[in-house]
Amino acid sequence: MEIPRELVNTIWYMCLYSLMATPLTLSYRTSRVLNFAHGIYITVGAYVPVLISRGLNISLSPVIAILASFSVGAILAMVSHLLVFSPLIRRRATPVTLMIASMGLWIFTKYALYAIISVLQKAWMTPLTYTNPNIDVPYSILFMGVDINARFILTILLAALVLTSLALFLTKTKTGMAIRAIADNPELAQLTGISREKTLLITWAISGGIAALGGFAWSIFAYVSPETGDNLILQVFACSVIGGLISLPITLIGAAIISSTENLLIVFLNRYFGVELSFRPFLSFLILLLTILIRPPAGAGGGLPYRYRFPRHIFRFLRRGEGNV
Amino acid sequence: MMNPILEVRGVSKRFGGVEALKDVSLKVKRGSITGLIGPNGSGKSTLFNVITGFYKPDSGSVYFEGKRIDGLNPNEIYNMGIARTFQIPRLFGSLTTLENMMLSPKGQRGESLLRAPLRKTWINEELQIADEVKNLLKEFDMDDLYKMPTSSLSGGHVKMVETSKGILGRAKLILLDEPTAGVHYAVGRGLFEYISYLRKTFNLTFFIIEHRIDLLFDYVDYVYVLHMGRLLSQGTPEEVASDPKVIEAYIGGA
Amino acid sequence: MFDLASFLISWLPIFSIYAILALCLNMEIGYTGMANFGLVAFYGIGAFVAGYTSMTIFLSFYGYDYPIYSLDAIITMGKIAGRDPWLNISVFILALALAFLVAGLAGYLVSFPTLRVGPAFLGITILSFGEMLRVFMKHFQPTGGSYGLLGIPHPFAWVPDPTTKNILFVIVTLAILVSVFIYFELLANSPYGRVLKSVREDEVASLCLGKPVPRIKAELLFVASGVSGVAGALYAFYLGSVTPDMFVTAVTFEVWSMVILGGRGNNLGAILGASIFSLLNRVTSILNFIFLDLPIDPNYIRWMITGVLIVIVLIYKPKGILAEKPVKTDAWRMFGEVQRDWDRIISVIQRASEYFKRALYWLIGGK
Repeated sequence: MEIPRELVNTIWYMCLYSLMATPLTLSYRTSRVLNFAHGIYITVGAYVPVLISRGLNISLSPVIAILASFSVGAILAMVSHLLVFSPLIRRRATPVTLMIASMGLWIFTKYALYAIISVLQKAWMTPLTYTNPNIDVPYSILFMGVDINARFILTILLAALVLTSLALFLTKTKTGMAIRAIADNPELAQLTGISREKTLLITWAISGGIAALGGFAWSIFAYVSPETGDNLILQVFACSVIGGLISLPITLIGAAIISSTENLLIVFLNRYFGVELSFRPFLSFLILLLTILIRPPAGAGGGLPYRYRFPRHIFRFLRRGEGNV
Repeated sequence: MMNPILEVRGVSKRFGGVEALKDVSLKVKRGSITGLIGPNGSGKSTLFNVITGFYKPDSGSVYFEGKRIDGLNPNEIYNMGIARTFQIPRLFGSLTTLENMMLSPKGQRGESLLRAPLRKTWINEELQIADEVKNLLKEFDMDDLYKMPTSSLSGGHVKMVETSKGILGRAKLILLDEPTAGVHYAVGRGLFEYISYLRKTFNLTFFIIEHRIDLLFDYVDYVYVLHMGRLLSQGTPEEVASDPKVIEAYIGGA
Repeated sequence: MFDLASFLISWLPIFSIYAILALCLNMEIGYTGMANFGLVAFYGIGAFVAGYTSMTIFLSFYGYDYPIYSLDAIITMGKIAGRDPWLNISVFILALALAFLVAGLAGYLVSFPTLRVGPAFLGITILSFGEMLRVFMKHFQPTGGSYGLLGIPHPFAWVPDPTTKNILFVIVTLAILVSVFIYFELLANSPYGRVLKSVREDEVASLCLGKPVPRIKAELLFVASGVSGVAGALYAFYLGSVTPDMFVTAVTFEVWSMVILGGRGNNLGAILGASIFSLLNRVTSILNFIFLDLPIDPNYIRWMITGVLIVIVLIYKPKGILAEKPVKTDAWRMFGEVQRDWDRIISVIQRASEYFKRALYWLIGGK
């Protein structure tokens, strides 16, 4: 039985986007920071197995790769919080300021990575951009007489395991419930004596770690380059925005939507309307734009108590600004 | 009442499951100081929000000087002559006192994109307004504070600037939302004295939400009482103070 | 060894273009509080409009039928670009005007739906719009798809001496920069500028004082996007070619760094920020050119410095280098302040125009 390639890709991307987008939703929901540096955790997560396996010239076990990626991602995210977001939040920075700071963080980390890679590339004499880690997982295995892609199965298992653990963690453990309390009801959380700083730090660690796992999953799927995270970041934003930037389950639905758009819808448009496959980001960005406009995320402020009454508005504009009425 | 300056007819507004206002009707007489009181959550601020265009009422209508204004936007309502202050004053923090006050007058020619680069078209109006602001600041005894960013003004001064919005904006009806909130009794009394003075001098109308009922009753001509979104009682301060329904609402209920 | 003149000729046009962009962004975020993360979209629209208009007019003027993205068109443009000075200059002016109008219109239209979104998410909304546009342009054949347009006619292509041609272009871009600066300063130091700031501080309170906030935002976005489009047009003429991948988010981020470092709410600060960053840019490319075998590409270091600088500035000196000044209308005169700064500006303009006149005489007469 041949599963069509498009369906395989759709499911694969859905797992990837789920791993990448849920941490973004989690970090926004808890700290109200829209982290533009989120893509970097993904890129770093993808590069850790690459650097380890190419540097030591070994075939890496997937378990070690996963642990390594997660740790580095978690550390990076915690550092982001301690050095960038926490000082700004203490100084009562506006959401816009936090976003711009996250962009500064993004730029710094990305080019630091570029610098490290270029140095290592020369030192180790192996190409380190557009490369893959050497992970000890075969490309295909024989299962009940059918040729299955082991990496595909690994990705699905990883996504399922991680997301289930996250769900259980957030609902059943004390720390997890503390995280939700801080996110959804800060005043009450403070009253019950939860340490806000410690919980935030843990949230960032989880967020960065899981995003890095998304990067790891990418590394066994396609080529890794320092631009990996950036090429995916808007699609990841789209998934989270569909979830309103607060709901984790709906973020998963968002991952399904975006993944289907990029792998099924575009194929359909390609076959019947001649649309090129490289046009797919346009569709995802369109979904992102429409979602923000139609259902602004939580904390968007929703703006002005102003209602448009179109025809009169235009006439006023023509009447050369004498003030209204 | 002949030609009330403001008339609210059967206004209702609900938010989700909560009925914030239910069939509220009232009239504000021109040149009066009218009070609006009621326990917390009775819908007073919501009513102000409906009058000033923040919300469109679910049903009912609002009339200002005979013209229908419900559903208009807040800026249009300001330009018709209704000014509104906020319980927690909303000034433009990093702008100077002078800049804050010069934003209040309506229809300034220099505020249009096309006229702004052409100084000659607005400079006279600008100087006139600046002169008026200077005089007002002198009255408030705040002369030397014109250059200060309003975020560093004291609470009392902030209240004065907030109150001056209506005067500079040549409003005919000024809605004050708890003007004495958070200030000393003496400052509050001074504020009400000033309001009386303004009413007498410029024939302004004031519609005031206030929790300090003892202070309010010394100055108002007529009072409306809201309770749980409905109009509970109305009348002169004496009539309302002795209305058993009102007493029960304040002591018994919310 | 270091040639100041050629350094200036290579640095000034890029500096002016970025300074114009920084001024636009400053008006958007510094004065009106609109965090435009998609500035590059209007920059790109202006560049493509300029390229498309100029090439179409040139080709049809000389009766050629080729689509502008074809190889024939590019070769032909090379031949006809230098023939008629008046054609070059008038097309240049027309292209700039159209770039302003189209980019401005795009900005105006974009402002309407974004009103629902609230100031915090305005940025990412415009950013997604910009990225959508970029992917679309890469597949849009009439403007060359992902290859873009090549062979855009330089306004001074008819000048025989290449150095003079470049100097003339520098003068034009600087002149446009100065005009934009003066225009924005006039806007900022007027009641209009005051209203913009009130929208930035508290748009609801501003609305309650009768200011038509959505209209103000839409009009400002029209002007700022239009001028960004002009900057894009200048860039197109400067390079002679445009591709969609030139207009990526990194450009927006560069302009943001300039405004944040130089000072939000201060137009001179925007120019200062632009000069610092564009100089840094130039220095790293020169380093790259001179030293062929550095351990780390200096561009990486430059970006790392930029990123760190942004975070440090935002944490410790959020207002930037140059502080925001209160709106300077003559209202201060009422309080006994002397309006010294305005006179200073006027005298600077007078002195600058003297220098320009002398430079022109030297160019025309002395050669």
